[in-house]
Order: sequence, then structure tokens, then C-alpha cells
Amino acid sequence: MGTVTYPNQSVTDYIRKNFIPLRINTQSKSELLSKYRVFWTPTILILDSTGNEYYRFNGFLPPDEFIPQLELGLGMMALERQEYKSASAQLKLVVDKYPRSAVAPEAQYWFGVSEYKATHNADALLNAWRNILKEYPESIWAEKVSFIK
Amino acid sequence: MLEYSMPFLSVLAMIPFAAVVLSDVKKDTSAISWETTFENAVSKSEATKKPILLDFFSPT
Repeated sequence: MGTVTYPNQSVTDYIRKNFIPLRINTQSKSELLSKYRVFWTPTILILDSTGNEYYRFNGFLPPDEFIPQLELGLGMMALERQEYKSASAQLKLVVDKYPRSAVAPEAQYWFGVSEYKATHNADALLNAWRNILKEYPESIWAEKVSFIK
Repeated sequence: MLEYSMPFLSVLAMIPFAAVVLSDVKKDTSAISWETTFENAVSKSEATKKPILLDFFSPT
């Protein structure tokens, strides 16, 4: 990450714009290692201002997957906080802006959930999920919605 | 002639070093400014309303 992804200008700009970045060396014996149950590196977490964890992933990602993953993380954070309007906008952005990224089908899945939570309109959910079957039929997320018609 | 050309040559010789220094400055201002303590990150997160991106890493 430190030699490929973080030096990438798009990644740098994205992080500077959207986050307060914090790096902890796992050899430092920081108490954060146990607090956040870290057993492997890299471990990337998205936290709110009080340190509550909302999203995490492990392992190296190149810039063109790293940014969509962070975008998804922001969408999931909004969804978990029940900020559905913000969550829907963020998750739709992932699908629209990074349609071929590995996280696009997952973003589409949770976009449907967010729309349903916001409106209680089942059609919004089903339409979003049908789009997974159409656009990402090979993904695990298509399997998760394979019961719908 | 040599009297006039020496300062010019001196300046010319410094250009590569100046370029290195300037490129380092440029790199620093465009790099990610990582916080190194949780307390500082929380404080800045509260002030800016931005979430914290926490990266646990192993030095290579």
C-alpha cells in the first residue's frame, strides 16, 4: 500500500478530501491493535469521530479498487447510521462511477436496501436487485437476490 | 571572460540540486498527512466532521 496505492495521486487526493488519515504501525504495540482486533496487515477501517468502527477490509488493493472500496465504506457508514438519503446517493455513486469495480454489485445490493429503508417501497428494492441480476449475474450478490423474479 | 562565466557556471551546477529539493517539497505538500496518534485523529475528525481512515500496517 505504501509503495503503490498511497503514492498514487488520485488516492492521495481522495483521502485528503474525505478522511482524517491515521496510520498505526503494528510493531508499535499500540492498544488500538487489540481494540480493533487486528490480526493481519493491511487492515483498513473507517471510523466516526468517536472511534466507532463502521467498515473494514483487509489486504492490498491497487488504486482503481481502493477508491471504490472506500466509497462503498462511506455508503455503508451512512446506511448503518440510518442516514438513508446520504447512503443512497453514496452507494449509487459507487455503481455509476465504478461500474466495473469489484464492489459495484455489493454497492447495488445495499443501494436497494437503502432505498427501501428510506421509502418502504418494495419496488425500489426489487428494481435495484434486479439490476444486479442483469449487470452482475456472476457475482455472489446475484446469488443473494436469485430468489426474486 | 572566465571572471564573468564562473558565477554563471556555479549557478548552472546548482540546478540539479535545486530540482531535487523542489521536487521533494512538491511531493511533501501533495502526500497524505498521516496522523500518528488516535487522539489527534479524533480531534481533527471532530473539528472537520470527516471520518477517520485507520490503516494498520507493517513496515517493509
